[in-house]
Amino acid sequence: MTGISAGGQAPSSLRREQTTEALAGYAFIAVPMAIFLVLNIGAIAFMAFISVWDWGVRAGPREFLGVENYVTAFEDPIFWRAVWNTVRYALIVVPLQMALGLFLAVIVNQRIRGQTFFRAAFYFPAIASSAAITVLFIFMMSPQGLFNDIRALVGPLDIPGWFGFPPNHSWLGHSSTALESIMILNAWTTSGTMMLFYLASLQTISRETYEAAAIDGAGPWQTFWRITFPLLKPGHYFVATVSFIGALQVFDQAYIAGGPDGSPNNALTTIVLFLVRNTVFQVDFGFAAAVGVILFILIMAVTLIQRRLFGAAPAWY
Amino acid sequence: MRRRLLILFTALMLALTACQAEESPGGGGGGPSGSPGGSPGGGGQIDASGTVILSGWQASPEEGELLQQMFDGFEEAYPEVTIDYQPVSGDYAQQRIADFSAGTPPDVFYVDSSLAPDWIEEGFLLPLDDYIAQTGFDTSQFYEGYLDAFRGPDGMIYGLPKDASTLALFYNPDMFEAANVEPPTTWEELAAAAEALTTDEVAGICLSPDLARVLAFVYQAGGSIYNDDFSEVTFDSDETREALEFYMSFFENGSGRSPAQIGAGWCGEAFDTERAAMAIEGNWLIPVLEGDTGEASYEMVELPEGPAGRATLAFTVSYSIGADSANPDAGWALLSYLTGPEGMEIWTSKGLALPSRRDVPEPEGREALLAGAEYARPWSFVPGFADVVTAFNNSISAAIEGSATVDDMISATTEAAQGTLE
Repeated sequence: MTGISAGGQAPSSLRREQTTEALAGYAFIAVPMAIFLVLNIGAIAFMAFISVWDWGVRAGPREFLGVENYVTAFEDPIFWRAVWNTVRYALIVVPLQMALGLFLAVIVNQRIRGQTFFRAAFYFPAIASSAAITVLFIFMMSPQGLFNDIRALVGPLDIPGWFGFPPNHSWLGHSSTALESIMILNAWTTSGTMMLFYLASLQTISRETYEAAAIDGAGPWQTFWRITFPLLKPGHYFVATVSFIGALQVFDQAYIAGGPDGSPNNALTTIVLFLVRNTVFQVDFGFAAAVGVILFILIMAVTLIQRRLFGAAPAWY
Repeated sequence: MRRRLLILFTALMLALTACQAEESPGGGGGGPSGSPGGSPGGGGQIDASGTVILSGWQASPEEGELLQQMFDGFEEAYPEVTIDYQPVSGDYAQQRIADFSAGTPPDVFYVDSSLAPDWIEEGFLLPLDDYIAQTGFDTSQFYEGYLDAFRGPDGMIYGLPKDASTLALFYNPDMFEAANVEPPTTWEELAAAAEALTTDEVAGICLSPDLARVLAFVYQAGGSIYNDDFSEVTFDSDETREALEFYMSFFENGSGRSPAQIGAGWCGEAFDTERAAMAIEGNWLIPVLEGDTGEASYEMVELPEGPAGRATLAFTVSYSIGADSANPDAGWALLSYLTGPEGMEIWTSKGLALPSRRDVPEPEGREALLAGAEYARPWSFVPGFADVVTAFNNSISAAIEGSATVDDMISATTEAAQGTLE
């Protein structure tokens, strides 16, 4: 991104040439930009427009409602349940993903035999279809599934058993563990992507810094916490942002495991699931659009807060 | 620069909205736009030509073969019309909603009875009454419970049922013999049978935490969700309470288990893999049982009689014509052939689907499902009913976990149902 903009003031003799160059640049980005404006920004603005109407799917605007759709959402306990589920999900999954991603990145960044193999292996869950993974996961977490079989095998080391979960607990079928199971699933499937981001960020730390630290007598533990971790700050920002945006939009795994009802007992009703339910099954575009706008604002707010916390974005972002 | 973009953008948005508004002149009332020709008495045919786009979902390759047979029959009767078949492989409702909002629906397509009230209210579907009158199409042969699912609040018909199924009690005769139990015909016998059949590995009966099953019990007890003209919510009654308490009693004594407790995706799978001795399902379960996965033997009986007599639910899918259809006349030609006696006989010949008309021969071995058709009540209510299903299903799944009571289920469902009438 940084390469495109030519910085500094140009001498007047070059101005003409520069204008031509700029025009060429705009010409190159015109088509993708137009597509982006219409399909992304346009869609978002149109959603905001729809959200203040009683909007017929075929009939278009029927009645101007102002903020009524928003009020309906704020008065709906299921909506708040969806918000709570989503926020709780994000607050647990994001740190998990970051920790796992960083851990894997540091490991595969070592000069070890088979480095490429491990990088590919850790990234593998990210390229498999999330629908396929979720279906397998449902089998594994069922009462007679692999997970409970392993618990039976390890006997006294069955950690969930210590917390009173019965040996044939239905992990996705019980409202106290359904969302938590999806959290673990997603932290695992996306950790490979987070690893990749961290890996890119790790490459930006120069060897000299490490050499200097080694000369000063820093051990591996100290080096990680005093050098690597703080110097990864731009990376943290990027990974946290991407991870949070993804987590707040959690949908497909919840939909496959719990259906449009978000059952059991709304445990799997996330904001996007709630939105889809109101779009496709309730055919209430105005209300669903209002929910979409609220989600948009939520994501925007979280991103801005993160920006404050971590400082400016890295140059390669 | 930024301001100019903003202006440009606002203009674009306004233009988009304007097109949207122009395209749809106020709701979906009125009759078919083109005046259908053809002589009213002349064999029920209509003058139609051109291409007709047909869409639905396809459950199996066998269904595709039957469709092709029907297409051949249709093209013989209407040589001027060509069928362009465009099945949807992904999420069907989502695809249709996208078409409707773009104003480009297929000419003829499937409508699930549970979604019909919403789609009728939004004006997606063309009322068929004018076509029915002009071509003298005989709708009296349809089972009323099926046809009513596609009747709008204005009394018009917005689709004709292509096939249908009721709910019946599937049971495993081997397990019944081993436990020395007879197929139940009343609630008491059902409860006793479930207890006798239950072992550690096998649930006496698999019960879904789903209104689309439980409502049959509510009807059997004499309860209902709405009154007959859908002006009032009637769910909070002693009859409903009795039905829900009966349903929950299976979970309390362990003779009934949910698919989640059994570790199956749905009750059909639990029954097919011999982890449940009974299941309440419809015709859709039979191809699964005949398939390769499980080896369970099966028989069917009508749902047991409750305190208020027999009741079951009718699940049906219609062929309907889009309000924005480009060729509604050819659409009617195809629709009337597919739901007429000739087309439906081909469609139901293998028993993959059950006829929704009385004048079509009944496939073998479906007596219990067809007997229910005479008194079945449609799984189709009011626009926004999906909310009621969601509220009920979530509260019953909480009740199965022990974190909600029958009263909680009734109040959550009543509240959601009231929301649909406002």
